[in-house]
Amino acid sequence: MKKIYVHPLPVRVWHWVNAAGFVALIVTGLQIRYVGVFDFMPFRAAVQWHNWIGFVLIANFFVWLGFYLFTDKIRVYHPELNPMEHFRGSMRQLQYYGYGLFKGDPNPFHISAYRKFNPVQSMTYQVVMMILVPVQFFTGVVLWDTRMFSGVIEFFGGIRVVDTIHVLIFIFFVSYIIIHAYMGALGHTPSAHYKAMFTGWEEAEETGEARH
Amino acid sequence: MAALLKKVLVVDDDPVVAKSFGRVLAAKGYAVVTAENGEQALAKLMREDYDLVYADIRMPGMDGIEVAEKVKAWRPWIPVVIVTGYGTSENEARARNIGVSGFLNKPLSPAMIEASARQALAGTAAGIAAAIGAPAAIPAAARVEAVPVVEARPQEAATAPAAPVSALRNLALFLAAPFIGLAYMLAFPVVGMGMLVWTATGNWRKKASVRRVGAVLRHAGVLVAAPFIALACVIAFPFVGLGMLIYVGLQALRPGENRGE
Repeated sequence: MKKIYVHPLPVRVWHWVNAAGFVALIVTGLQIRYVGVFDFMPFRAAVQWHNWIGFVLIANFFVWLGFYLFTDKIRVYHPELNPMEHFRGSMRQLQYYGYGLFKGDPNPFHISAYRKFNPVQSMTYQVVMMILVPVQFFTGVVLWDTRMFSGVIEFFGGIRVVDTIHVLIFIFFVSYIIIHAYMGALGHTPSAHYKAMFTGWEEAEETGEARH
Repeated sequence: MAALLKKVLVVDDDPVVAKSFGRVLAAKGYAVVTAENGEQALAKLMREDYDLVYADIRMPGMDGIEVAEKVKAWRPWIPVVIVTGYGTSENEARARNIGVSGFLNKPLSPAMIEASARQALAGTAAGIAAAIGAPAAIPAAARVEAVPVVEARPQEAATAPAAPVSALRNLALFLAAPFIGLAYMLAFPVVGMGMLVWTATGNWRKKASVRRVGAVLRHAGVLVAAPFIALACVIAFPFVGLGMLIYVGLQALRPGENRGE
């Protein structure tokens, strides 16, 4: 096993703050959305916590964005410009997740410092980090003060539309976190990727080549 | 930036040598990617940015110096070190003309590999001059011969104009990423199903009768598509031609760094 430094400190800090914040937003969000079904905390406290944590995560998002914009690690989020290469890689990866993994096949993706996402991850993270998360923040902010943002809310079709988008993305993120946690356990040991997200160093098989 | 990993591409058909580079340089904090031959190396270089290239001089197909020539033509700012078991004056002259950063003579030792990477990445005219003028700065075991640079042009100068272009490209790709990712995501169910069907029908498609029908359909398709393809070419030609002329003109206006002068 060789070690490759793939998660720099700002990314690790952002990741864990984000993870804790998202769990807290999910809990408070469930309380707000399904009041009467859940009874974790008083409704008003849930709203206040939800708002504050939301703003912390918006600030945290800019830590992530700033880090990637101002370092050459920005390449980690570059797309594969050859569609056939992308789709072939995605199919290979999905075949591994759905079949090869259970037979003990090696992971077809080899991590390297600038290619830390396999094609499926790459496609997902690009959409999640640069479309869904900003849209969720945007809808969250306008729902935070509907009076101040009444014009914006009207522009997007009314509070029902904005709230529906916010809740749909919330449902997506709940599923995402569960899948993310499961995928995180698919390293060469169940805790390998989790450990790497604390230390920054991923352990990779010594294949003589760190293919992307 | 200096704290970030430097990415090294090792081109060698001998997996043992490639592995030694990987082991030594990865332990020193470099990210090492290997290629078995010149073609594979150039494909990787087209896809990703590298900070340093090692090319073995003797490889089937494209030799190390041809690889260096291509690298210097496409990415003149990337230092290239030629790994050789037998340095001949003819090879040295070829390498000098291309502007490689140095030779690394086999047998290799970890100290040699490490020192050569450090030296090549130091890469400025001052760095090269220091390496030539003060060999004591390099560990004795590291028999890296710095090739006297034909032009006294600092390598830094070659890097400088490329940096903003690279930063802009990086930013543009970063901003385009979510849209490309979304397009891939939306297309994936359809393309994925198509790929599954294609794979599943592999044997069936090999049958003679099916191949005959396929060939007829393909010819008919080409016949129907031909006028549209021709029309598209006619419409696109002025724009593509103009773009190509501008590109060639800009290339001609650039300093002679990628003309091996």
